[in-house]
Amino acid sequence: MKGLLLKDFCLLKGQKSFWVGIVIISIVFLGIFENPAFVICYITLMAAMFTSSTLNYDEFQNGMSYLLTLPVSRRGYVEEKYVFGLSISACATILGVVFTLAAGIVKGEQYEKGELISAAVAGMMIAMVLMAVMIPLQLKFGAEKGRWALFGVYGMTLVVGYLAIKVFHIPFITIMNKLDWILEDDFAMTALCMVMGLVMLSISYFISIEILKKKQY
Amino acid sequence: MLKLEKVKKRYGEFELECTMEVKTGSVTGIIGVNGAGKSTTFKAILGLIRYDEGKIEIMGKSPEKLGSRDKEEIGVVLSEAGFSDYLTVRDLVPILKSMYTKFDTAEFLERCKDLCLPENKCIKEFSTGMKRKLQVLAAISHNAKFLLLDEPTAGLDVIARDDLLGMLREYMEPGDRSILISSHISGDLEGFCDDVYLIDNGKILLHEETDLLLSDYALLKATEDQFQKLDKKYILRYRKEGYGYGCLTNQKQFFLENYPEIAMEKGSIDEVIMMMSRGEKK
Repeated sequence: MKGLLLKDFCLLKGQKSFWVGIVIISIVFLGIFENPAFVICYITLMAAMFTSSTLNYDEFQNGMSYLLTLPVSRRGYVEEKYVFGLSISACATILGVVFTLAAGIVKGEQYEKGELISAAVAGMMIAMVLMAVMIPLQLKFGAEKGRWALFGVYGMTLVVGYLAIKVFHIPFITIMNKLDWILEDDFAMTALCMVMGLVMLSISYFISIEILKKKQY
Repeated sequence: MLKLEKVKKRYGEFELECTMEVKTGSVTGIIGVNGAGKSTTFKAILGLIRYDEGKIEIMGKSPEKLGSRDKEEIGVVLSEAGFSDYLTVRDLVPILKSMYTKFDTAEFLERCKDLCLPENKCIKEFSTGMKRKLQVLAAISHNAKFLLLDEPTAGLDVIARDDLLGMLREYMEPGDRSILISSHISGDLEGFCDDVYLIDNGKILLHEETDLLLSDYALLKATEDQFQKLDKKYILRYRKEGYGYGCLTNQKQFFLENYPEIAMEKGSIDEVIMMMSRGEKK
């Protein structure tokens, strides 16, 4: 796994202009927005998206077939993608928090600890959901079709949500109101989000392994 | 080192049917035109595709059972795949070092220098020849016991091809190593392989030691009349030509002694491929 992680970090290092662009946009957003959540979530999301880019790089010009001839198992390849995605997303979240704190000092504002933690947790949660959906789709359908499949999944989610509320009358608002205590409790909320994210990632990981085991190159 | 027994793989109309062996210490070639089934054979050996029937044993294991330790003993060059174009030679060093316990960094970098492969340029800026050299270099820099090289000379000029074959000859010096190499250019393999398999349309047409192929095979150029009187027991394939019949034999001496009047061309792998794939059976 170490070799694959190094490869992805080398690819990440090679995209300096992409990362400089993200930092500049983040600084602009920090100047515009009062709410720190936006920038933290934005940076984390971009980092998670980069995992998808590494899959594109691997796939480009039949690179996957070559990678699988190296001392790398299919399971090892999948594991590495999740570890890489989680690592860079976590680093991006920390970077986002540091930027926000720095901006707060410059602007003379002080953010509440709870507000920053909520933003970081939300960012990580979105990153985990994105990776959980994106990695297996991209492994199954490839870069181009995978992107369309991702839109398809989002579309389906909206349709299912709509049907659940309008057709099957599932009382989401009542359920959410009953869970209000979680939203008010920072620790409970953080724990719930992390558990949900990790459960989704675990399911996604096993699906990805099965996809890659069956795939022919 | 490698055994394929009646391996079959179907892709729509195309069917690969392959039986072959690579012995320890030998260089075995697969020659065939584009689309003959060379890359499919390599992919099946490396576990990149599933085969429908038959048995493959590579270093005593089936491809799907090869673990990371086993893969360290193998060096691979694939015809249309390689390292990410966005990496540099310098990036590859720590990557390969962490993947292969026996990766020789100093030798790898020295050879890169010798082959004029720039350390800091992205691979996408490399020419085809440079990319091929880099792949072969990566395949031989970790003390692999077995090299699987699918069209490593494709797209190379004569000098680059010679450099590459030189590297491979040097690799074979210890004596306990093996190479399976494919090419659609017979000249590459004539002077390099111990034995060759000719493959066409997914079928192995011929397996022969290269020395025998070059010494005992010949193309007889018989007139219509000569062809009718010819003892055909040593004719492998024949084909109607403008002058009469072209006949491929693997018993050149027999015809030299018994039919000295028939014009004869020394066997070349190209002729053998042509006759075996396009000629008729006696």
